[in-house]
Amino acid sequence: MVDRPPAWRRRMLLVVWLIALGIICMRAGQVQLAQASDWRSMAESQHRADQIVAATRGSILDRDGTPLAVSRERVRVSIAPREIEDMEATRELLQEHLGVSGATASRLTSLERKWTVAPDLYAPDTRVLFRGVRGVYLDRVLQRFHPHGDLARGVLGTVLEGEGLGGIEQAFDELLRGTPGREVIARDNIGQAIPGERVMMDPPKAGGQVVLTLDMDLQEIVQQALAEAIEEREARGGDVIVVEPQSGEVLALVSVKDGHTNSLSAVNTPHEPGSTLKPFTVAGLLQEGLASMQDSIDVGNGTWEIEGRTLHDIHTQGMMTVADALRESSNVGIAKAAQSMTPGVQYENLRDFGFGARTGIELPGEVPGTLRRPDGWTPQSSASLAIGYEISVTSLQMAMAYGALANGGILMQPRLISETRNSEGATVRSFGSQKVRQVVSQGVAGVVRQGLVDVVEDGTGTLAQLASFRVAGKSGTARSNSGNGYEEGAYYSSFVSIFPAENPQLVIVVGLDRPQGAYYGGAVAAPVTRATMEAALAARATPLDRGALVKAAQPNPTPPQLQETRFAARTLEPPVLTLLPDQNGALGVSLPDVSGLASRVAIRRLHGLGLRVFPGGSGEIWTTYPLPGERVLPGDTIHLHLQAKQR
Amino acid sequence: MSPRPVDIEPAGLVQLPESGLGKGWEATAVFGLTVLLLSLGLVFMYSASSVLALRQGLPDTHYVLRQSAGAGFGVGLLMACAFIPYRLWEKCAWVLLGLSVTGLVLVVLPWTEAIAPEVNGARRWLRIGFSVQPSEIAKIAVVVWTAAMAVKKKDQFKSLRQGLGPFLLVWGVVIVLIILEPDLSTALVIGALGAVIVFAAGARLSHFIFLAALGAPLVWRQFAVGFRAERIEAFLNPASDPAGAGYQVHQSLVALGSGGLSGLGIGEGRQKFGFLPEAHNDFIFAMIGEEWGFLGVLLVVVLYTLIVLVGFRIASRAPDAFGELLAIGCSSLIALQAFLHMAVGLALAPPTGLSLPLVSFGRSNLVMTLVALGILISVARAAPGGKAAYA
Repeated sequence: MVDRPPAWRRRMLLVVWLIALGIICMRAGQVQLAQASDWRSMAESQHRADQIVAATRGSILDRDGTPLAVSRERVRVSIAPREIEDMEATRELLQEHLGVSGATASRLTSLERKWTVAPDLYAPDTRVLFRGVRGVYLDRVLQRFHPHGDLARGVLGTVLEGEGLGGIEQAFDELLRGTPGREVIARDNIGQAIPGERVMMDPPKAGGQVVLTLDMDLQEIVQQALAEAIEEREARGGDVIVVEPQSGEVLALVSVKDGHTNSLSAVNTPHEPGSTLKPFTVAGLLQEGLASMQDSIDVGNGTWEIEGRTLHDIHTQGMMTVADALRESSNVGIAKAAQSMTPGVQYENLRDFGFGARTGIELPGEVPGTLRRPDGWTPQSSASLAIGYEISVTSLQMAMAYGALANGGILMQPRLISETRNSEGATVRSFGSQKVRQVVSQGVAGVVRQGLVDVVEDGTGTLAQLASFRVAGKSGTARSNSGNGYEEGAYYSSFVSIFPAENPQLVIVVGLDRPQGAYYGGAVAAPVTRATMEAALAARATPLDRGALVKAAQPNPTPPQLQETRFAARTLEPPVLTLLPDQNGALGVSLPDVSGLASRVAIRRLHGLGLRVFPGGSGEIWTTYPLPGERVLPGDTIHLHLQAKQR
Repeated sequence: MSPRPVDIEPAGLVQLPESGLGKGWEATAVFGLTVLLLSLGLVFMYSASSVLALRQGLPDTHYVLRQSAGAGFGVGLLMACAFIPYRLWEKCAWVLLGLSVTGLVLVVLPWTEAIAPEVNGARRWLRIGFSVQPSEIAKIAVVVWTAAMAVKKKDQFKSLRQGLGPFLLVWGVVIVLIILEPDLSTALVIGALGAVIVFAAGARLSHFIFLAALGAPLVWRQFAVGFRAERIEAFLNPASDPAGAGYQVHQSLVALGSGGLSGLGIGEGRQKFGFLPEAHNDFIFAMIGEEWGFLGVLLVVVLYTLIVLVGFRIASRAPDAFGELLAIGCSSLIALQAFLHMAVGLALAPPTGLSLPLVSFGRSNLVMTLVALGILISVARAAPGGKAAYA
C-alpha cells in the first residue's frame, strides 16, 4: 500500500460530489417547495384550456310547428387502435352499432394507424353503446339538420361554425344560438385536448325557437312550381312570394338564383317591374279623383312620343277606357292617363304603396329599391313611372302593395315571424299584424281589383284562370337592367295575383328572371301562379279559410277557357280535367289510376284535379282510397298507400 | 425448516442468488442500487416516452422496450465485468483507447456517412449492424486509460511536460474528435473525468490551475458556437426568448415546480405532452420531479449519493492504486453525469443534453454506465476482507 495516492484527495473529491448533490437537493427544494405555487399556476395556464361548449341551437318551425331547421346532437366516433384491449370484440361492436362493414371495421382498428375516425356521425345513444370500451372515443357534434331538404333554405339561411349566416339564422342568431357553456380541458403544447381530462364548468343553455308564418306545404308546392318553371323556361332564377293580405303574413317565400335555392333575391334584388306597377297608377288616379275607370283615352295608333321617348303598344289603338288600358296593359293608355297627376302626387302615391322603402321584414339584407324624388325626375319620368320603369321594386314590396289592393287599401308590414319561444317551447314574444298606412280607400281598392279580375278573365293573364274561383292579377314584363343599361333579350317576367278576387286570401307574386323563349309575364309566370293556387287548394294543410272559399266559389264552375294566350310563343298543357256529371247529374271526377307512379308525380296529378292528398308510407303508389275510377269531388281527400319499390 | 437468516447489513435489501458477486457488502450494494435505479428508470422512462411514442405514431411501449433490451444486454455486461479481474483493464487500456478513437474517427470522417449518419445536426452514432455511440465507449476508455497511466507515471507527475503532457495529448485527441461530432457535453465530461482521476492520483495542484486556464477559452468558444450559442444566451437571459431556447429550461422548471412535494402521480404529468422537450432523455429529471414531486427527486438523489458513497468506499478499500483510481473514475462518471443532468433541469447549468445515468433513454449510455458499475463491483470483490479469491 506504499504506492497509494493521497487519501485526502479522494476524500476531497467525495466531498465535492456530496456538496454537488446537496446543491441539487437544495435547488429542488427551492423550486418544488418554495416556488411551487408559482410554477403550478404557470403550468395550469399552459395546460388548462377553457373550451366553449356550444349550446344546442334552437329550431326554426313553420306556422304549424313543423320543424324546418333543427340542431341534432350527433356523435363522432374516433378510434385509437393501439389502445384497444379486445380487438375482436371491438370490431364486432363497431360492425354492430355503427353498421360498418367488416373491412371498414378492420381498417378503423388497424394498428398501422394511431387515430382513425368513423366515416359517419351517429345517434347520441351510441355513447351508451360504447361506454367503457377502451380505445373508442366519442365526441359530441352539433349538426344543423333540415328535415325537408332545401325547403325554404333562403329564408332559413345557414349555420357556419355555430354562426347564423343569412336568413332567419342570421336575423335571430342571438336567440337561436343560446348561451354557450364552458368546460375546462387539459391540453398539450399544440392545443389538443388530452383525453379524459374534461370538467364542465357552466352547462350550455339551449337556444330559443323561432316560429315562422311560412306554411310548409305551401312553401313546398311553390318551390316545386318555381323549380319546374325555371327549368322549363331556362330562366336564370325567379321569386315566388305568397302573402296573406289581411295580416301581412308571408306564407311562402322562395327565391332561386343561378340554380341556388339559398337565394333571397325576393327581398334583396330589386327589378324594374314594368306593367305590374300599372294598377297603382290607376289606383292613384282614382284616389285623387283625377280619373275613373270609364274615362276614355286616345291611344292613337298605339305609339306615343313623350319628351324624346316613344311608348309602344302592340295590339291597341284608337279610343279605350282606363279599365281597357289596364286589362290590355296599354303602355300608352296608362302613361297618358297618368299625365293628369303632378309629379308630387304620383311620387307620393307610389311611396305610399311602399315602394322605395324597406318593408321591415325580419330578414337580413333587405333593400329599399329605388324610387327617386320628383326633383330628380326627367320630363319623361312621369310616363316611365306610370308603366313601371325608372323604379326598382323587390318582389316582397310588390306583394305588400298588391296586398293593399286585396285588403281594402291598407299597406301591411310583412310578417315572417309568428312568435319566438324559449328552449322549452313557451312563447316569449308574439308578433301581431302591423298596419303601415291606409293607402287608398276601400272603394278604390275594390275597383282596381275588379279591373284586375278582367285581366285574368280575358286580358293578359288568362293563364292564371282557375275553374272554381275568380282570380285578380296582373302580368308584367320588363327588360332586365344589368346596371349599364338594358340587356338585349333579357327580361324580368312577373305575374301578381289576388286569390280569390272576392274576399282575397292570398297574394301571389311570381317573377322569373331572364326566361328564354317566350318572355311575357302572362305566358311565363301566370302558369306558376295557377299551379300554386291549384295545389294550395288541394293541399291538406294550407292556411286557407275554406269556409270563406266556399262562399267565393263560382256557383257554376266551368272548365277554364284555355284559349291560346295572345303573347305566348307556345301553349301550355292544361290540366286534364274530366269534370263530367254522373248518372245522378252530380259533378265529379273519375279518380285516375295513379298506381305505380312515384308519389311526387301522383300527388301533382291529383292536386291538378283539385283533390287533397294524404300520403302514407314512401315509395311508389300501391293503391288509393277511394279506388281508381270512383267519383270524387274537388276538395276530397285521397289517401295514398305507398309501398317501397319492388326490386 | 428454520427460517432463512436475514441479512441485516445495509445491502441486505437485495438478496443475491447463491452464486453471489462476492461476500463484501459493497459489491452487493452497488448491484442492488443499480437494479433499483434501473427499474425505477424504466418506470420513469415509460411514463415519459409513451406520450412521445404515441405522438410519433408508435406503440406506447416503443421506447421502453428498446431501453429494456439495452438494460438486459447491459446487465449481462455488468455481470461479465464484475467477474473479470479489474486488473485485466490495466493491460488492455491502450487497446480500449485505440478502439474508441477508431470509432470516433469513423464517426467524424467525411466519407463515412453510410455508417455514421447525421442525426439532428450531429454525427454521434456508428451503425454497424447495431447502433453505438463511440463517445460513450470513450468515457470508459478514458477512465481506464487515465487510471492505468496515472499509476504507471506517478513518479513523473511533478513534471508538467513528462507527467501531464501525455495525458493532455490523449485527452485532447479524444475531446477534439468528440467536439467534431459535435457533442460538447460528452467532451466536457471526458475532460473532467480525466482531470478528476489525475487529481486523485496526486497531480500537482498548480497544473490544474494551468489546465483550467487552458480549457476555459476553449470551453467558452465552443459554448458560443452554433446551436449551443442560443441556449447559452437563453440561459443567461431567460426572458430574451420565452418561446425559443430558454423555453426548454423554463418548461423544465414548470414541470419540477408543479410537482411540488409529492408530485402529480405516476403517469399524470402534463409537461411530457409536448411542453418538455426530450422528456424521456435530456429532461427526464424534470418529468420525475413533476410526477413524483420533491420526494421523488430526493429518492433519485439519495440513490446516486449512495452509489457515490459506496463507490468511494470501494476505492478506499481497493487492493491497489489502479483499483482505487478506477473506482473513483467509475463513481465520478456516474456522479458527474447525474449532477450535470439534474443541474440543467434545475436551471443551474446551461442545457447540454446529458443523460441521467441508468434512467434516460439511450442504450449506448445505459450499457456503458452498467459496464462502469460492473468494473466498480469487480474492484469491490477484490478488496481484502470480503473479497474474491484472485486478489
